[in-house]
Amino acid sequence: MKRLILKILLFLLICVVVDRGVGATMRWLMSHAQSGETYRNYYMFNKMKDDVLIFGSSRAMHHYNPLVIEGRVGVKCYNCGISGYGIILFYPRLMKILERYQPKLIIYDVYSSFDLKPGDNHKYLRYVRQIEGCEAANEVLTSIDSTERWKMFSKAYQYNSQLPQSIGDCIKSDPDSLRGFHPKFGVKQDVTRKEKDNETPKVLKYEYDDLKLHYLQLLMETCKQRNISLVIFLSPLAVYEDDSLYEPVRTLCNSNNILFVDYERLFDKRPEMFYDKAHMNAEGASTFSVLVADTIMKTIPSIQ
Amino acid sequence: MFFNSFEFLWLFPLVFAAYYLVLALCKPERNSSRWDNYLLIAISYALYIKWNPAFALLLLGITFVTWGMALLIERHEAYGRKKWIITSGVLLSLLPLLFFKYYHFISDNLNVLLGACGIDSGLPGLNYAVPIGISFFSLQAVGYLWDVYYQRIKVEHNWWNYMLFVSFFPQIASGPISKAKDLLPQINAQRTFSETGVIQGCKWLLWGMFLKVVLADRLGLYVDIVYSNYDMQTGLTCLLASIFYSFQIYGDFAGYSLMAIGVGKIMGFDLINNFNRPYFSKSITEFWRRWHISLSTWLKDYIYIPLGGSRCSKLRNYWNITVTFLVSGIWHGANWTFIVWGLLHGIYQIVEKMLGVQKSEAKGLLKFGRIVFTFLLVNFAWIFFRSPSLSFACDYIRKIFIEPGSSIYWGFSTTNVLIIASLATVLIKEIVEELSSFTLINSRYVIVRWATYIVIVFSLLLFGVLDSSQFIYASF
Repeated sequence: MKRLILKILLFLLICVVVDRGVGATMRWLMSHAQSGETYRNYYMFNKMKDDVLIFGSSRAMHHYNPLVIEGRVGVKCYNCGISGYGIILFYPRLMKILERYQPKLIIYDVYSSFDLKPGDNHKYLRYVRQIEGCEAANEVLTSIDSTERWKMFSKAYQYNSQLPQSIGDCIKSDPDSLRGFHPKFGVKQDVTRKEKDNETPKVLKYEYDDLKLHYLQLLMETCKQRNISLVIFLSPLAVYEDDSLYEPVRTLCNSNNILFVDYERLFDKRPEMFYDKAHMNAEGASTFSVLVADTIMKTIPSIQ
Repeated sequence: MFFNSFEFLWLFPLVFAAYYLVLALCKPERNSSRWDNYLLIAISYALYIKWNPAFALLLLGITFVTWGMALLIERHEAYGRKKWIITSGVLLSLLPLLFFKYYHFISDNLNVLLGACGIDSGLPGLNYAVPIGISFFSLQAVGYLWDVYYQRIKVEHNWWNYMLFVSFFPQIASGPISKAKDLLPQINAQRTFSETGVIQGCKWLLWGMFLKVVLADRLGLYVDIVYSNYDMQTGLTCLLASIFYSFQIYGDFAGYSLMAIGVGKIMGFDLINNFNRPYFSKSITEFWRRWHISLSTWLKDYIYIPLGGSRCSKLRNYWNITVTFLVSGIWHGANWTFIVWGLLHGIYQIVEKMLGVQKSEAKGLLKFGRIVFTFLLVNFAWIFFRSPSLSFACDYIRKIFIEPGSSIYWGFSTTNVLIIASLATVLIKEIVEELSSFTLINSRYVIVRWATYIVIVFSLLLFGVLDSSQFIYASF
């Protein structure tokens, strides 16, 4: 038994040493990335100084062209959107960014699947784990899973599922010339609306994720406290969601005096603007970005 | 407590330490009471109560019924009385399983059937969760009762030993389904600490975890995307997802079984090996000797052989095979998809028997061809297993055969890179083990063994899907 315990202790010791080595290697890879999500992550927390930031899911990433906004508003803009993520990631991301500098405006593209509806929130933690030394990130982690604080002892766990992408992003060079914007080209899916599509069955009461609403509220409070302008956008969709679905966001915006702009039906009879049901293509994104820029100039003239 | 949960990581070392402390303190010469068994019962029930306290009563009830009925069978000499006891015992033990798992399915289908005849039956549905592991511990308990009835084993008079036999925590959620002749003597025997056993158990635990969180759960990410949007995908993508599902369910279930066997080994028990590289089978008959071995053995011993097995006319034998696989399908779930899946395997085996394929030897290219063909047959049946309904499965299959398309949903993403890497790792390991006795994890060189452990641990941390997703078979 004594021999086994000694072996286990030695094994654990080797694991700790290797774990620290893996952590250091991953940090090195992150800081030397030249493209992709790894580069964007590093840029956001270490180099970014843009005045206008765009937050949100893939809909933010594919819909808001920072170059168009920059051109019309005249301030530097960066698109921080990321596929499949919502407020659970963007609240701690903002808090980490605020440790270094303060942007003037945040455009938040809200989407029910990632910002409102309940579900397994573990899937949003991948990038939250990589926000080091940030109290808000720790709070988000433990609010979703109390065991995260223990799991985070392992540096390898902190970078779970990240290694192949980090290596790829180090090898490939991409200057991120579109400033985080990823346009979709062409039309992948026929989104021509049929009559029956409009007959969306009304749901009497939607279920919402209290945690997501809590972090949306915190995002709004933080922006107010720090004097950062915040606009919540609902960008165009090819297949509409029920109007009442976004009611909690409207209520939060009203109570925090935040502007909520609903452009869901902007391209009602223009299927050529869409790549698929949930995403616009490059043409749709350009037209929409112009409108976003004009909306900002009209509602927040001080931004210029 | 699932083996891939964080809870297991910190709780199991405590359980392990407590267990061996009790073993050391309560040596048999000093104390005739089996405190080690009491501790294992307490742990097993505590974990089950944590899932659902009410369902623990069900577990206790099934244990009591089968234990009591076995004692009654022993007391009675008359064949007629024994038969009456075994019938009522089996029915009573399977009643909760039938109620929780099949009531909803039966009432749904009756409502549809009677509705078609113009009768409004209005049978209510059932919205209870199915007790975890009920299909496994019910079969294990019923198997014991039958073994006593057929006088294959002696009756277990010790209530505590029998209680542990039914509720033993490593295997209660998803098996393996142990036979009384294998497990009860181990429960009765005095166990001692074995360093080799503990290390071997840890190795199985580690590799089982790899199969589950690195292979199965990673494949699951791709499979779920395709199956939930199959109408938007090409037939080739659907085919690829179905192949991935075959490996996902293997990684998931073989991984779980290996972890259960590993935990058992660490505690000093030898549980039945449930998988033996099933995708290297040259026939469906061989596949069922390598896949879910404990269930196949149970079905063979308690369904197929009592029906007459193969010692009867050909037609009767085909009927026996069909019934056995029908039961297998129904056991897996209350859905027509599982029934079709079971029947398909039955039909495959009957055709093999007709052609005499299962007995013929194959070498070289022919052997390889038969392995691939068997895999494709199994893969085809898995489509029904994975589909939520028969119409879904038919649409999915139609997509593969009628609209194959020319592209595959694939790209450079972390998930896809890790799918290829984990699949290649498992395939290479299994091919090497199928063809030789070489294994890295059991290498005679300490440095190779330890390096392998470290690589597996860090593969779990860096590439595993670590959100404690449930095991597929835990829902059966």
